[in-house]
Amino acid sequence: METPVIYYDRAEYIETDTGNKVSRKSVICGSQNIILGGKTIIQTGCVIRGDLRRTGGGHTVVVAIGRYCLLAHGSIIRPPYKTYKGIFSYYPMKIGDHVTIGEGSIVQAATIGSYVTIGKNCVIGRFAIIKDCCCIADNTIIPPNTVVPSFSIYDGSPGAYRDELPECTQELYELKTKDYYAKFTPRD
Amino acid sequence: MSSRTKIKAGPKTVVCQEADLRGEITIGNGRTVLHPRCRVVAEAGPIVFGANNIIEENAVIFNKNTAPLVIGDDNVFEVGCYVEGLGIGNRNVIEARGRLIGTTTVGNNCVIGSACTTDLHEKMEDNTVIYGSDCSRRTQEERNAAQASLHLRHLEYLREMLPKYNHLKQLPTDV
Repeated sequence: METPVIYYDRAEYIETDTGNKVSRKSVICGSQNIILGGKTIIQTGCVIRGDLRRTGGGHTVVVAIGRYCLLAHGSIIRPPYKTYKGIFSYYPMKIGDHVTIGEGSIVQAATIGSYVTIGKNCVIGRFAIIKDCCCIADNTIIPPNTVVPSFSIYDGSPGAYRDELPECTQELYELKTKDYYAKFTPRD
Repeated sequence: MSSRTKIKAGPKTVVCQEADLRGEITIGNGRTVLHPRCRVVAEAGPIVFGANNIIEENAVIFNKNTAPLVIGDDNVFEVGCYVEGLGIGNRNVIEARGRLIGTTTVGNNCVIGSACTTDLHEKMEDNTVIYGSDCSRRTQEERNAAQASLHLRHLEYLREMLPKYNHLKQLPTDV
């Protein structure tokens, strides 16, 4: 399927050396604790909470995002929290490559694998683990601590297994994210 | 929309710069934390917070009525929730994208689950939980000590960590 070219306002987006495109209208807290792998797009109104770091000293990475990811309009990435051995702390979140997070979704997962598509208006609960090659349908609520296995489609509230994805999912999602990045071009 | 913005907050309140506060807002003398990008809009009447509340990003608290919207202590308003209503008790959790609408009043120790909505004119009894895709109701047990200590530790953490990475709003502290 041929997708249309998406134009953006050149003044709104900052492009880094590694090809990340970050909207100036997004809120990025604690940017020194956030790693973007390259060619990742962060659109208008996103919130990434890099300030909610692990207690204890030293340099810590709070949010690590891989290559060719898309954080669509108004999505929120915030690390999960819990008390462990009586100490309250937020814990780091890792997102793989070729991950699409839909508009208005709220992600508090511990790990998201590579080649994952999350639909619009989803809520991914605290410490959920989403493995590689998954699809979370629009408006899904994944409860805290859920493990979503590879090649599965989840939907509903609370999110439940619905269907499985074909073996070619990896190639499909890789092409999709690369295509989106290539077509996300400035208007001038 | 009321044009004047009048905010009173206790000395231990942490309000991030990007928080959007409008109208007459009173925050009690305790460790309330307002994350960046939250909105508290007292459109017609004032909004009165108790102590030790957490209001996360993209949460919206709105008062359309002329009567004050009184919110108790130890409540958590998670990411992207929307709150109207006539009054909220203590120790409630409004989870991510929960909606509390109309003239609803909430008792104590209630939970509005992720993406769940209250009825327009509901009176939520103590310990009610709204959950699932059909917004079903059930009653939970009284809050135990572990939950209370988690909330306190969370507040302590935020009070220590947020000022390191965010600019804070300076508020008049004359409660």
